[in-house]
Amino acid sequence: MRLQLIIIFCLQLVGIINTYAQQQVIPEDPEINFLFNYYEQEGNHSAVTGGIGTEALTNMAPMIQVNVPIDSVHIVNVSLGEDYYSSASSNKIVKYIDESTRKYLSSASKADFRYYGNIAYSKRNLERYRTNTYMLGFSKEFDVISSSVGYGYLKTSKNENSSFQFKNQLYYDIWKIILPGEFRDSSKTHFREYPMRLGNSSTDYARDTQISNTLSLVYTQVINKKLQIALLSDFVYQYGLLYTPFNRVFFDDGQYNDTIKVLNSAVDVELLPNTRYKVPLGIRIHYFPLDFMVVRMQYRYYFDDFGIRSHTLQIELPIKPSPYLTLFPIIRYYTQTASHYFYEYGTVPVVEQNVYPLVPAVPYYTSDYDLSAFTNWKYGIGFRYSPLYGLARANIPYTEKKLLKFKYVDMRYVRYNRSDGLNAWSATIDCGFVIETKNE
Amino acid sequence: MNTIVRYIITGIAMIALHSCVSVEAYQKAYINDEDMKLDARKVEYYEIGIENYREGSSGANGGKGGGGCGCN
Repeated sequence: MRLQLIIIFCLQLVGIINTYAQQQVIPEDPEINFLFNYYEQEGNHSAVTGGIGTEALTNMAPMIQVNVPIDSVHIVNVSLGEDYYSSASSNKIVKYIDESTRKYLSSASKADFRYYGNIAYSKRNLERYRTNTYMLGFSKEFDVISSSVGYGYLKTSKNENSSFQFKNQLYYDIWKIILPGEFRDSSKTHFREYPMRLGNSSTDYARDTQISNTLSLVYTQVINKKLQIALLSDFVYQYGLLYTPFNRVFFDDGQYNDTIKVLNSAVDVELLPNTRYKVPLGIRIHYFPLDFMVVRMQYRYYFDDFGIRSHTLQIELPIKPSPYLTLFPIIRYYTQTASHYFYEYGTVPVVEQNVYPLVPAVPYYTSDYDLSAFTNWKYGIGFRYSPLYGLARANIPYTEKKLLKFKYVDMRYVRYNRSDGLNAWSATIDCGFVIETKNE
Repeated sequence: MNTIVRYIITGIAMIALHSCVSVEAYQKAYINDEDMKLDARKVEYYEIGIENYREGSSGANGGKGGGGCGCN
């Protein structure tokens, strides 16, 4: 029902903008993309249960993107989507709740939605080869509301062989402080102070904020008739709540064994610094060595002040058995070092073992294995089928000259194998439509 | 590892800049091909999101660098 409303809204939006566009010069046809992704993962290092326990998760994510050139100068781009996810570990936020804390059950449930929407307006200066873009974004899920604003500037050379892009996006997130169930009993002693509002109802959570700013610089260059490159760099600065309030850690209290103790006296919520910067630097190289094959390569180096260093290399080899069909095998290798603050399950050091309350020997700690040292292989295949006259065409009702063309279909399937045992797969389909004007 | 990566990047940059020529619009049949676009494909955006959540690093790949969670 929700998806239907989104589709209706987008078609109406296209209609409204396209009606206006009929009075203008239209350089390109409006495009509509319907995308759907299914993702599934399995692992045994859930951060919610302190680095041990199931990470089973499935996610279904429909999205619609609409790109409408109003005239040769103004372009509007809208995307709306939702994630419907079912996460076994989310359900364990309240796993350790007892009779005294049962009334504090959070709204975090086994299945939840996340909605999001983005709109961008671009204005081209055709004489000076410049484009200014203004962006707005919004997302909402059970524990986070996020809004964003952004600005982009693109300068292209006269011969369009090189371009420089500057983009800045500012995100403002509001987090509900949803603590694990055992932390909502204010009569119990904990290692540090937690908000007094413990979540008696869905509107009674304490809240905290996170601000992220992403500055992106991209330079592209056509090297020759068959080769072009892009140099990419981001600088991300984050401030505020950077840990997840329902992720547990277990201190090394000298009584560690393989069994998690219910209401373990050594359990705490992860704690991370309230500022973080991230610097990824990347290069893309796209080369057309043979008439039937393209090589798409990407390398990225990344570092941040949490102590993570990573290298990513991805290669895609689009092969074209016919002018309308492209098959593209994909392989990606990723490796990262562990964050300074990462500790495996039950190993967060304390000042003195067996002396309660335990005092952590380190200021920050997490058992989120996404911040551990690992390698991650991704491999898969995709195809794109894009016949010259499209897969199908239909007249748009209540218009005389408008035609909806099913232009192409793009599918992709990949698997992930992470060295810590997290395995996942993802399948995506993209159906591209254009609204054409019939020739007289 | 870092030294090897530096050599690779330097080598690629030297070869690329050495062979850099002005390409006219009518010579861009290959450059304008759909698979030569320097952006990520639309079907790839989901994977970029997954990688942002499931890996400690993010950015410089066309995905968002922060904001929202979607990480559960």
